[in-house]
Amino acid sequence: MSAVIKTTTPFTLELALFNALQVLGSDPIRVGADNLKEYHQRGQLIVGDILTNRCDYNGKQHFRCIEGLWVLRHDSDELNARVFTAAKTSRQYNKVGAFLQELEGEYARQYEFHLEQLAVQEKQRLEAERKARVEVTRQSAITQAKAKGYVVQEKHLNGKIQLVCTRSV
Amino acid sequence: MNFGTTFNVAHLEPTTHIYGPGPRFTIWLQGCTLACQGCWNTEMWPHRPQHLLDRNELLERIISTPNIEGVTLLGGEPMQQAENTLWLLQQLRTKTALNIMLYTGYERAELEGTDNWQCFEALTDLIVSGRYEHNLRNTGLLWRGSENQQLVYPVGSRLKKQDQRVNQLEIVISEHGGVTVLGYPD
Repeated sequence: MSAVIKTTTPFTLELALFNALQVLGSDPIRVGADNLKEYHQRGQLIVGDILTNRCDYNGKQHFRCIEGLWVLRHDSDELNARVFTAAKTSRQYNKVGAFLQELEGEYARQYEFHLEQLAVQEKQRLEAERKARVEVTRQSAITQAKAKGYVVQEKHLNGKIQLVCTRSV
Repeated sequence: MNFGTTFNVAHLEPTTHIYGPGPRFTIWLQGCTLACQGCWNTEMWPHRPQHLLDRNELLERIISTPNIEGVTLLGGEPMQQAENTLWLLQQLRTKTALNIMLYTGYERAELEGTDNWQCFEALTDLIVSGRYEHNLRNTGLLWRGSENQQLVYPVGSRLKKQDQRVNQLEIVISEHGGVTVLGYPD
């Protein structure tokens, strides 16, 4: 039996994230100084958070920008979690893992769309940032694997980097 | 749960390198009632729909994936979507030269003599069979996680027998820096 362990794509571009949430029907709302007091939440909301219509014990699940990455804040217990739309009808609630996986795909599409709209220079800057982020992840993974005694073979397939790590036993 | 001609899929990787020999299209099916203690993929136990994928579409995706040598099915439990799994394997045998590897948590003895087992033996090149036994866990076994699990090469298998002692992981980094770790981590 083998493991599949997946981390979420780092969401860095607010506009792409917001649009992706809209496409997926998560009714995103930006929290600003004008509407901050409208929402009741266990744990404080802050200006800049992006609310979704996914509710759990703590209130509305929301994204917060932490050190440049948008992170979904939610209750780890999803027992009574639900989707609460403006029409107050409950729709199918996807577990956080499945939701983030779906969001990841839409975010990538929105990111590409956003790039198409940008001037060349800005496009290059964003792409350079993305590549640098991937490179940091790659280097870190290789270093950790080698430290554990793995021989690392690197492959590049369809825009992905695949590190095949083998250790004789 | 029966989804007709639709697979309930937990995860897909178009090209992996650690689930059998050579680059392979790998499919984790959703749903398993065997509930092995210490299972690493408990989120793949429920049979409720995860990603429903028409079997023809899955076949097309496999066929259109370049530079692969084989297909691997694991899970979840492929035998608990036996009808669609058999259909897919038959199609792959007819339409491609891809070799086929199948994981099942069922013991060989539980399945031997059943029609399904005979069909699976006829269609696959390698079956990894047996429950994951946490007290027999060994991450140094080629293509399996516990000592009791067996590599079964059916008569007519197109694969050379292998059984080295290695520990393998595959780390997939997406274009945006998302990380997926596959395999047998410590």
